[in-house]
Amino acid sequence: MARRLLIVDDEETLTFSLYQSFIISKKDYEVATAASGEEALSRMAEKPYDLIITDIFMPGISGLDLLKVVKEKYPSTEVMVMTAYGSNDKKDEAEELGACYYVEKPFEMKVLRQKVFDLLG
Amino acid sequence: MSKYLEEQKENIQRVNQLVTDLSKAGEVREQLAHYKEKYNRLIKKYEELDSVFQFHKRIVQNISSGIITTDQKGDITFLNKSALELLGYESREVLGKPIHTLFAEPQKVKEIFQQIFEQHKMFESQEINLKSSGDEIVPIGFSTTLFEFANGQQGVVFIFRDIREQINFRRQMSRMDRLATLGELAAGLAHEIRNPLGGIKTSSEVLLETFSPGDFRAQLVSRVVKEIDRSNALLQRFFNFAKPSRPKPAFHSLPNIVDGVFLLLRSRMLKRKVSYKTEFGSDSTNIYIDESQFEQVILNLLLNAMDAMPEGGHIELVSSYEPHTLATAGQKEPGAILIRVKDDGAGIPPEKIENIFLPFYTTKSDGVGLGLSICIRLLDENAGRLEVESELGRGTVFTIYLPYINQTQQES
Repeated sequence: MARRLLIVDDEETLTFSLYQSFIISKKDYEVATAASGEEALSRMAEKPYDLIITDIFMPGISGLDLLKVVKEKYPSTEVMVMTAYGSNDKKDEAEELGACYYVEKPFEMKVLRQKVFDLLG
Repeated sequence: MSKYLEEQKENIQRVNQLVTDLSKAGEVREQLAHYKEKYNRLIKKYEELDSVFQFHKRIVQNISSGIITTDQKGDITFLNKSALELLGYESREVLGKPIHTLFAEPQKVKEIFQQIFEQHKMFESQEINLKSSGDEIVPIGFSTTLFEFANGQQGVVFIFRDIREQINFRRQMSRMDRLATLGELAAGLAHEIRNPLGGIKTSSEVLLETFSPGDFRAQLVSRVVKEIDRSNALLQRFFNFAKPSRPKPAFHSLPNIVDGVFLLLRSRMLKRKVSYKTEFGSDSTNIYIDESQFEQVILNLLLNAMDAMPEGGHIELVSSYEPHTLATAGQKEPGAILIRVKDDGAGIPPEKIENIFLPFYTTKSDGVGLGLSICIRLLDENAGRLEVESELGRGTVFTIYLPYINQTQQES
């Protein structure tokens, strides 16, 4: 069964390009995107996801709040966090909340994608 | 007062002698005991008064505030020890002189005294500059009291304190305020820019994968990625001073950190003909700081020192322990470790000295102007501060103040 991956960010260029990066990788992934934390949660209510990659600062609920809810409601779903906010404080917080990876924008797409390959196979 | 008492004592002694002589004649024998008792009481009173007088004199002399009194013309009648020490004068050099001659702005002081005498105005917690015997300008905070002396004449008691330290702290605070404001602005801006950069970079990287490596389009896109990384590196530096990560302080050896940084710069220093010397005073080698943040501070100061000496020169890094100095205004118990980084370069003109702490201020063609801002920011995070002294043509000294923390006490 295809592994399911959800990319959450209000930056459309990023969600679109990241989405494309998985498409061209020819992995058997089902990739979806959401423009906000709320949209992500409603998608997750429809069907389960193996991995969420989320931004932190978004209108509505933040990526860290999303991470908290996901870890409570869907404990088997892994969460990666990306942010344009350069501070170790957020990194520590994300890791405490159970994020499996934290990366600052602009990141190396290949490095992030490899992390996803390692996780989802 | 004391002289008056002395005279009274002598008078009493004379009376007593007289009484003793008379008693020999046997006429006032029965009054002798009475006089003796009176004499003893007076002597005791004298001693009590004298001890009160000495006590007050000691207080006035040894109080840490400077005290100067003047007569009704504003001429100096008395200076206590603190006043003389701060001014660098002997009492006899200034007694009888107009008080305004001790100040950097004599006219202002004349006006103050005019207001005191004519309008009976009192001055409370005002600031003004003294001029010491060595022509050094010393900022003071002062209060005045109009006084009526026993002889009915008026005079002024002028009480003051050296406020150089407070002024330094105040300056430090305003530097930090300025940095905080600009820092927040820069951080906000950097955040807004890094978001689109993230999108552009990922898009470019995806695009790059679709071209074969030799394709000129691949080369173009890889340049886009490289330029994004360059912009991001600049933004990263904004972040560093806008919002340094929370320090993780621990005890570290100052010599080890300093040696490490010098090692890093060794080849560059050789090339630039810069020599250096380090000297670590006792009790000043164990510092409680975030190691990598402190390395950054030392590195920035050494790089600045090297830049100040394009023709080569000498850098000295000297540490010392100052038990009575405060590293910052908020420090509870005094005790600071001072680390002085001295170069013998061009020096900084006095009118530019405050500018060097402004973020983005630079005189170097390849500089961003954030080095010192980062230093004061990081030191602030580590409960320290930075001071500068410079002499044009002679060189510049940056002094880092860190709180002295006793490791054994801390651990127990």
